[in-house]
Amino acid sequence: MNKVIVAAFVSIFVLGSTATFASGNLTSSLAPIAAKDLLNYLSCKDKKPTDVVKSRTDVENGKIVRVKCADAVAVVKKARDASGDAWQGGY
Amino acid sequence: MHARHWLKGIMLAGGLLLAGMVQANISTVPSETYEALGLDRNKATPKETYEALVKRYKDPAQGAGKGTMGKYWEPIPYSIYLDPATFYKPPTSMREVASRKECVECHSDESPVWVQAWKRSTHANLDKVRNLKPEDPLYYKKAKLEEVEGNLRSLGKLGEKESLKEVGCIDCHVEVNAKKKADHTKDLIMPTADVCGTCHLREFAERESERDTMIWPNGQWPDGRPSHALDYKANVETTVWAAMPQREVAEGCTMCHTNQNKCDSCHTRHEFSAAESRKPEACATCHSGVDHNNWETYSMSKHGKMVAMLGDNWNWEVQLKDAYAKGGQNAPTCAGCHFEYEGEYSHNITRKIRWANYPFVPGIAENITSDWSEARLDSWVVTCTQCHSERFARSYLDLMDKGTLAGLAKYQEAHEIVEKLYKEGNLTGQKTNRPVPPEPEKPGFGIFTQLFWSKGNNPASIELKVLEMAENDLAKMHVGLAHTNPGGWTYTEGWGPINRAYVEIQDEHTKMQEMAALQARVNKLEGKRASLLDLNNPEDKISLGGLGGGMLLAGTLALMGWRKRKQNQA
Repeated sequence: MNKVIVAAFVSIFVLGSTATFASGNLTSSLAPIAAKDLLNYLSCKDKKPTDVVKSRTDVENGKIVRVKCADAVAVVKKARDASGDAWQGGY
Repeated sequence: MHARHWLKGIMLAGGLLLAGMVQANISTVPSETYEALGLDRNKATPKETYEALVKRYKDPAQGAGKGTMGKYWEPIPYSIYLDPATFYKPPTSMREVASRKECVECHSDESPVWVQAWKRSTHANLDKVRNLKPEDPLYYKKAKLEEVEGNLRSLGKLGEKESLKEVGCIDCHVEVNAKKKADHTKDLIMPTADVCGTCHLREFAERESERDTMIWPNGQWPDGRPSHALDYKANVETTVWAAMPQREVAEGCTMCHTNQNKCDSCHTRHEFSAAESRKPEACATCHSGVDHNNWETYSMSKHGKMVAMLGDNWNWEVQLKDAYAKGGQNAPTCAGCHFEYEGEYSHNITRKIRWANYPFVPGIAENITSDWSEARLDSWVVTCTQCHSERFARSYLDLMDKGTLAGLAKYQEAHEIVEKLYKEGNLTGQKTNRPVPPEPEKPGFGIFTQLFWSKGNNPASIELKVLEMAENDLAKMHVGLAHTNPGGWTYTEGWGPINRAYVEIQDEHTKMQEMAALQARVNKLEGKRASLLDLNNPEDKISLGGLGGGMLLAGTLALMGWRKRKQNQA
């Protein structure tokens, strides 16, 4: 049952993928992660979950948005969980 | 006497066996290729290796021929040179039966520059190669010639004691080491990659190995792509290429996708100079332009500028392996970086690919921190550390990755806005003037086809803008970053144009929203005048009620007056 849910989740991500395509490439089996989230995730490398980093993309009310590493890591972990075996290791 | 003959025979057989063994294992061909071909690299002869490679190379299921959309397009006259294996037929105008020598003689008048270039080529001067001295930096060519002869002997195209005299017109355009005369109207061919591979098995096999080493972990790109080995397949499998009616435009695409079919793109005909192919200009015609400005941005980088300033002093004739040590090269080139893998140079240029030019392709960015990608990053560090410290190289490559993601994030924000408009059916002309694309393309939002085909409001302007923001500006931003051209990802290309596209998309979006609000108000106003009986507010109702009541009163009074007059008359 869980597999079905995960598959449905992945399908929604894949089919709902917003990217345009260069010739030929259509889909990937990895669940999408927004570039801004990947940047936050990279900024949180080797940091504690309670550490706060500056966003590399977002400004609100004239200030660079601050991101809690626990949140940044959670976003990526959720996508990686949805990717299942498609993610074969790495940071 | 007999014993001497026997001894000679045994020695010859032993020599041949040894030669066969030496030739069998092509060291620079990755194991993945031997496995894919079902060959034991330690046992396969050149003949077996060649035949297995060519079988796959010519297999339509593996990318040969017209492809899966072949029924939608027909070749134009020029196509015979772009995919000779599928389309080339010898010309019927020249009814000649010519010998090896006669080809040269006749073409000295017919196409003199071909002959002039060939005459100074290595192909026409094999004895010069044979006479190279070990201290000559080009001495490696002698071993290559011996390897070529070994390949031809294995294939039965060269006698065991025979030397290859030359590689002339007839060898490439009819048959390698042809002895007989050739019928110009029947026997002529355009030499495809497998023809070169008859001799240059190593280079052909290295190139063909791209099919086996460019396997993405999550299907980000089709297997074996992007690569030179399958560039023609990629071309004919591009839907708009097959679908668009403007065939001469489409064949411009093909001209940059013929490496699969023929080997004269980097070392051009008919000189086929390896030195030429090592120069950055060799790649420039194809690796340039609006969606992959590798040439422009490399040329503007310090790397490229050093080549422009110092390259005249370098010996481009030395092989890439010796370029830095013996060639005097002190800045990197396209070939120097992309043909290198873990200290070895080959015609497989896929093994360090991570971004593959287009950062927005699904799964590419998500994969950039994977072990697969990290291993390839490590291989890039090997390349860079021929000159730079590892710390320097890694810090720059980190900048490249994160800089690319910064551009991707900006694009994704703009893309979300425009895609929402599409999902709501609010792109300009989306419901009224959006013709379907030519078959077999399917209608869609922000598709590659819209860069090459348009009709009515397909695509809408804002849709094309966000598409080009990715396909052109974001791609160039990454290329600028990858090729160390600061202006190429900040002001001139990349961020600057992406910023402009973002601003214009936001601007257009706001205007569209304001126009929609105005339209709603106009609709409301138009709604009041739809019918006299369509009463929406109390004032209207009172007015009409008053008018009706007045008319009733007037009618009653008139009736009363009419009756009174009748009574008076009576």
